[in-house]
Amino acid sequence: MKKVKKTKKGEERITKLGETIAEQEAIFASVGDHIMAVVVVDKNGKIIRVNKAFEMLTGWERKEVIDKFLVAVVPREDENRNRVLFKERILSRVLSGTVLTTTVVAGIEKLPTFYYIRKNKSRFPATSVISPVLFKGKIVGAVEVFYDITKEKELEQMRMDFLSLASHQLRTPLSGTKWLIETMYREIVGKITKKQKEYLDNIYKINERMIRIVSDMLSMLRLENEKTLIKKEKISVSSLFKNVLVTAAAAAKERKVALQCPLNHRMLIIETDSEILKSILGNFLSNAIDYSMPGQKAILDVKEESGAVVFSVRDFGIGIPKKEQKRIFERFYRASNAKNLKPTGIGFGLNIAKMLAEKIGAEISFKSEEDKGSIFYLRIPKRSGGGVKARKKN
Amino acid sequence: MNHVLIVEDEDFLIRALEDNLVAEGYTVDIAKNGAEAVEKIGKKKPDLVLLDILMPQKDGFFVLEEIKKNPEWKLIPVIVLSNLGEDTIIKRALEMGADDYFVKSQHPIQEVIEKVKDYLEGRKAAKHRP
Repeated sequence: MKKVKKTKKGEERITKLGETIAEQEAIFASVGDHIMAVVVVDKNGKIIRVNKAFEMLTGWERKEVIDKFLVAVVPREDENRNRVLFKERILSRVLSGTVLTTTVVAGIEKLPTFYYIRKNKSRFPATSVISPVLFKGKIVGAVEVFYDITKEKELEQMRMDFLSLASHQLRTPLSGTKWLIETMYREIVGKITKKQKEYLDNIYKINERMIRIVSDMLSMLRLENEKTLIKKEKISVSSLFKNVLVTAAAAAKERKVALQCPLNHRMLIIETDSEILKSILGNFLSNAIDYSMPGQKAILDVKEESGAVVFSVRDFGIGIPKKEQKRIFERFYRASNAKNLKPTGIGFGLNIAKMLAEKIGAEISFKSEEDKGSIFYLRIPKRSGGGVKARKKN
Repeated sequence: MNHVLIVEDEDFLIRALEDNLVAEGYTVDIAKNGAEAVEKIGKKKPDLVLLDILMPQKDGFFVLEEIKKNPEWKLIPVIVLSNLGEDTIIKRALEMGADDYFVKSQHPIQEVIEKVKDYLEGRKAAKHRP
């Protein structure tokens, strides 16, 4: 009698366990609704579980993929349609313990984007987060959550196309105004009086300001486009400095700020994207001029450190108030004293410079004290992926 | 007297270019779209072409292609003047055979005129790349 009772209890427990497992399976299958695909793999990368969204997104049925290698079932391609090899896939790095989670690699705000190949060989853009499954401190598998970002990509492309077209449409009338005024300055269409020239000077300056704003907007768009090509070219520091100083000369003259450039290390040759380097140093120098007082000086310099080349631009101007320093790289942010001295700025410059530096694997830092001045540094590693190789000119 | 063809759809830009070129002693012809440009080159071969990219009907790439595939025209220097500053566009124009590329709003008109003089007066022209 007792034995029978035990069996009944046992049966009940088995049934309950079965129901619990089925319930968990049902919950797992429904996770992510029809949007977020979830796939669990064992420590070898073989699929243990997938949810419904996985089946819908990839076109594979659950029974076809269980116990198969995830990387073989869903191949990954980069933006240029190159197949990503197993050892390069984050999944293999998560399983080997070299990466804890993809969010650590990419940062929460910007997950990596790539393409996954469906069963029918079509592809879709996706983004994913992969985390290891830990049991008693050991990696026993991984969970990957991914979703289709076709819509986001389309919207992003529309935004880029719109802004690009809008900027182009703005540039055309601005270039017209610029060229017509320059033609009037030449007096080939008639003499202009001194007073008229003053008016033209004002219109010309306003127009140049607008051109700069549109140009900055376009630079930002270019930087936000992941496909921007980074060039690697040999640049002599001497010609780089000459170019940057010539560009800044007019503004420096107007603000009565003396530009200085010590001769040390000018024979250096570096290998990186020259336009990007010029933009960053040009931005530093333009800030140094704008936020100095007449009669002061700005110094452009370079030095070699262990493993890096460090450019610097120093001024003795208004500086940045201590409590505002952490915000100066934010887009549109301008320090309070900067706004007072030059109300027309829009706070693009340092934000762009920082994005540009990241593109070439460099870092920007600064030291500043209010009313004493600032020094901005651009540190370019000698042998980083996008960085520089530095050598002395023979 | 050297002859320059301005291919541009905006009247105010045409005016600025034309006035400066005439002041330098060149003769000038105007085309306001790509098809008209090809037609004008066929009628009177210019010594140099100033070429916009975005134009109604046929664009600047069409003109560039027509110039470079024609054995009688392919040596005509072509300076692209466009407000499109994207790397891909500039690269495409240069690969198709454009001799120089200026993003209009970024350069004084005098710089463009000096470049024209470099080509037409046989001065050694350092290629301009944006």
